[in-house]
Amino acid sequence: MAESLANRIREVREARGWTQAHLAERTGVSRKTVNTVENGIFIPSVIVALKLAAALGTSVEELFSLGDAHVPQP
Amino acid sequence: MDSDTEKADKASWGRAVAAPFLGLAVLLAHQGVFFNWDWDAVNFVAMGIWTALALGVLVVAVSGGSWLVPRSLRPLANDDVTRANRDKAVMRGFIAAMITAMIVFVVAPFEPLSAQRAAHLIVSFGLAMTLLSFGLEEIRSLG
Repeated sequence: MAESLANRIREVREARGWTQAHLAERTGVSRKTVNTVENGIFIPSVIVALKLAAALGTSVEELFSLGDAHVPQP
Repeated sequence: MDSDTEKADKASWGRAVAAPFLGLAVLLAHQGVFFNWDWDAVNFVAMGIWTALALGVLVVAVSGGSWLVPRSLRPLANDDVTRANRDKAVMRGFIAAMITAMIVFVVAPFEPLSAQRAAHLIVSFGLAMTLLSFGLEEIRSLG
């Protein structure tokens, strides 16, 4: 099954007026990581997800979500 | 002055652009050798140069060339995304080498070729595909 991860990184980042490079510096990752995660090309590790959330002053749950199709039904 | 993030970005761009060209160069140079090489002669110098070149390119392909950038930038230039791109490229290179080997196996009864020529073809296509794939994945990742 193909897995996808929706995220609000671009929205939150732009709301703060930050560039990808600035977010990368604050997070301690490369701009390439920010770009690929933001565009859904790369699914980040838990550590990178936590770092991004911390740098943006939000929670991982606020930043990332599964698509409706991937939410397990009770 | 550039920050480490910007320096790593530049190093990644340089590597990403260089990798496909290196892949093409390997393919062209090796095919030039393939058609011009005197396969019946024992030329230790030529064999040594070819083996050293192939080994060098293999090391660059498998390591992603991360040791070519300054030590302080390596964690950024060789991050999770780069490692994933490299793994994908090595897998594609392996598939290319396997398919080349299968083609050689099928063609050999009709167009006999020495073990040296067969190994040459398999190594060339495997390495070229790895480098091409790595460079293109990196360019896509850098956006």
